[in-house]
Amino acid sequence: MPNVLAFAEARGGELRKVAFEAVTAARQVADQIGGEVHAILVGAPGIAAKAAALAEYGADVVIVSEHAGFTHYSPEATAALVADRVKDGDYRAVVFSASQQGKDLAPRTAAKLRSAIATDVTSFAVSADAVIVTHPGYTGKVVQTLRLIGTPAIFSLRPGAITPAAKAGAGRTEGATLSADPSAARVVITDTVLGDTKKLDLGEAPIIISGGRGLKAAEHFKLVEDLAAAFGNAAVGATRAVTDEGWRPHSDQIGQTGRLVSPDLYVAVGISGAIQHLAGMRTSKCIVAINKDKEAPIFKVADYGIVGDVFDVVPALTAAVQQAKQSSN
Amino acid sequence: MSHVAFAFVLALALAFFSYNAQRLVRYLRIGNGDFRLNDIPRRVWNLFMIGIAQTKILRDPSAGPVHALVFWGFLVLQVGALEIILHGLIPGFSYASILPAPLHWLFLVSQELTAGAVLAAVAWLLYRRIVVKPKRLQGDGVHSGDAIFILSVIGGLMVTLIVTAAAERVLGADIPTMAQPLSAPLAGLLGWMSPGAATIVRNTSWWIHALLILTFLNYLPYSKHLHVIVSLPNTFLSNTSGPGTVGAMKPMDLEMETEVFGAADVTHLSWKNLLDGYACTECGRCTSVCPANLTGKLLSPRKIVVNTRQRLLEVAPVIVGGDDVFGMPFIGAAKGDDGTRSAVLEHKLLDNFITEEELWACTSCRACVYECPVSIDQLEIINEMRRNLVLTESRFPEEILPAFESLERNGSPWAFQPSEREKWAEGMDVPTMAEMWERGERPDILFWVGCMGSFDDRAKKTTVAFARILQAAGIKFAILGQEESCNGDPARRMGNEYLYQMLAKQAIETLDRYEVTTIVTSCPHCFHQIGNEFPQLGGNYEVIHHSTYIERLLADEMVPLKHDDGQKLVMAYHDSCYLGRYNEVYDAPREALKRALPVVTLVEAPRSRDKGLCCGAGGGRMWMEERVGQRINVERKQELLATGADAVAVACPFCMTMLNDAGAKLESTVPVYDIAEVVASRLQTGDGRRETGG
Repeated sequence: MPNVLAFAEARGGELRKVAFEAVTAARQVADQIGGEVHAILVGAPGIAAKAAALAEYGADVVIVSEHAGFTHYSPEATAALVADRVKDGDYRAVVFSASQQGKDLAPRTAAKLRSAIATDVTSFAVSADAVIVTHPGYTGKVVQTLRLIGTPAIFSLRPGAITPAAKAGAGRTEGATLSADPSAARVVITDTVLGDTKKLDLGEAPIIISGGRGLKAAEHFKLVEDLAAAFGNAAVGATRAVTDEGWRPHSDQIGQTGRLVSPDLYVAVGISGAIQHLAGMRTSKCIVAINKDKEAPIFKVADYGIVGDVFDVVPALTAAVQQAKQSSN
Repeated sequence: MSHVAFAFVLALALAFFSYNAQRLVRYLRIGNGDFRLNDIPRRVWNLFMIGIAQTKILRDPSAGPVHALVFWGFLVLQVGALEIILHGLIPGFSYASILPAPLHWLFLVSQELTAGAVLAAVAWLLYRRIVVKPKRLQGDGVHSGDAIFILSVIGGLMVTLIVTAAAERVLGADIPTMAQPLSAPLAGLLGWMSPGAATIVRNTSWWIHALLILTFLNYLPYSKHLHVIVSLPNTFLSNTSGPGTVGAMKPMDLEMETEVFGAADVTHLSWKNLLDGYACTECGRCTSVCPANLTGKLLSPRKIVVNTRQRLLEVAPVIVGGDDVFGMPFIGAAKGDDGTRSAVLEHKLLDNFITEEELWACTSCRACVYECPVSIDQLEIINEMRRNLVLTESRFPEEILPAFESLERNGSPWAFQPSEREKWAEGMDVPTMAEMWERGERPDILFWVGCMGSFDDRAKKTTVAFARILQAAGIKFAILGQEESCNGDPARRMGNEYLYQMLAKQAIETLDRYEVTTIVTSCPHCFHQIGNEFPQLGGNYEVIHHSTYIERLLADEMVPLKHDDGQKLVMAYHDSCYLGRYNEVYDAPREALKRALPVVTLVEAPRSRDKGLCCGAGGGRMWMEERVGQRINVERKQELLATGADAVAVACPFCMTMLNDAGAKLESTVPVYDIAEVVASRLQTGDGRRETGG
């Protein structure tokens, strides 16, 4: 009976959320074809302790490879390890995450196996002769449906495309034989330097609170920062007028000539919505606009609009978010 | 004996001049070809108007008339110079011996009066150079010493001309006093001289005069005063005031086998661009009107031209070979001249002389080109260099990448879906071309809405207003709707010719499919592009800007306007560069405003019509950051506000957004209206301004 292999991504000795997504996806495929879920976990010595967590999401077997050379991602050795495991087993499909690492690893593995691959997929299913996946193109303007012919079918799953679901698996742990010494690879990542970790990157933040000229002065950006802090996982953005005035650094600018963003929630505070700004944020999933001018173009793209003075509305909103957070904790 | 000596000196001077002249011509040949002998009548017209009549020079009210005087004086005095030369060669020659006496006297009067006037002008110009020092004559390494030298030579020529004639009188020349208004009184003062002394004075003065003429001639190739010789041919050969379509960018063959697109060095420019360098006398009229320069950016159009000449004279001698014993130090290589061949060949015009930052600061407003008295095309050099940056080097401000990508993917500089293009028309009963064809109908005109008019919330109000005017006037029109796509103008102005041609060909294909002949648009950039540049790619349509179209409808009384007096308004109209300097549409928008609001008072900003200051959005600047100096739109808005107008009128969606932005920054409550909105607000059917929400 064919099984399904999932690559469980870890970073800094901890499993990432996408690891559980990959295992969950593999579980769904395995349940459809009636096979087992095998998860591969690679990392520095000590990573084996995390195997149990994968079992909670449905991994029947966790194949662990510990090596000091896996402290950082090792492209060649990891791909070789996964490819060898696939060759040794009978796998219908191999699931990666389309994370930064997965975007590198999945194609490498597919090339070694000469298998069909689809990257960055948002849904998947198994039919009699193929694994069928969907893949958005042109920044979401089209969705392609692809049939992956042959075994195994390899795909990488867009982060966040599915929600990890707890489902107990047997969770047997196996060791993996190293097919290549990671420290002898041609490409060795020696260090990873993190950027300013205190500040969420605008491109990655799920929530952006953005301020415009309506705030009237640099010091009033405190209102925007407070609202962002209340959400916790929010970044602060600004319009061109604001960065031109020097109220915020140019790196905070959202718009055609600044950052192009598409967060889950975009709160526009005192922003009228010039075309140059709209071009940078209108694909946000939910837009909330606060402006005292009800004719402001921003309301045309907003899902929720609040007509009112930002100096009244924003503090009230901040208080409401804080209260909601407290009651949910 | 002295005739032989003069013949020898003259031959030497002419030989040396010819040597330098042929060198300068050979240098031009390192440039690319460019046919400039079409439409001769127009070129002759330009030669007379801009060259001989000095119309561009006279736009500067202080230096203009004085320069014109020196120039016309120079022409008059050439007749005298010829006599001097002939006199030097042929013993005893004088016009007196071949002309009847009255005609000769007339000649003398013309020479002396002109000499007096030129002398006064030279004194004024020297005073200006040395004492007044106007701002536009500073910077860019302007050769002021050069100017002072040449003015002194001209002054010396005038003085010796008069002194020679005075000495002749003392020696008994029989000429009426009135024919020699300057030398006769001088001769009176010299009456005490013995014939011997007077002969010495006459001969010395004559020789100084003759030698100064020859010195002047040979000094020219070594100085910016080369313009004395080059400016008239340059004006004749120029396309900046026609022939052809003014302001259209040079066609470009992308299939051509070449390693370089656009221009990174003088060898990639045309010979005409290089001739512009010779013609430039560094007067700075271009830089003094450049919106980028005026607001503190690095760009100076004069520097672009001067750099082109410097680079030409640095590299051309190495390329064409031959000795350069008589180098050209005054206007030649100003920097990096360590003399070695390889060092010179490693230089480029781009980077070593002209930086990226300068090139991207340009708004393509054409003020520099328009102002140049010798018809230099600074903008063509900038455009060619931008093409090189984008097409060959892939170097451009990173913030324009989204615009390029959106143009390619969405057919609009902003990432909006084509399906949103016709949203403004919802509920307005505006048919698309496709719908009309389906019904078997053909419209009289196609309304090309443009990307701003389709997607920008403020510009959409103009679009709606114009559509309502067309409907009120009963015009049968259609839009392309989702089938409209950017015509590529922003890409072309930003140097991305490849993307431009892709978009333009696509647009032409759409227009031709619907057999479109007449297009009306409210965007001056679309207007210019489709009307003036599409013919390069085989798209030929009659394109009318909405200001002209509205004006015609109003003149023909086809628009049912309200009969009341309306709101009294003092309005300042801001000229769009692409409507004004590019297409000379100045009156139509003003007339339309006056007709729509019979009580409107139009006020003009100091810089208006062909002197209009750009809003700052042209040349792709709309999609770039403006981080250095004062913002151009703020500078312009302040000027418009200073007129005291109740409202500012525009005829371009880009000017609209720039002046609105500046208004917000200046916390001004003075509204900005498109002329279509003003007219629509006077429609009998209601107020166009208020009923326009999406």
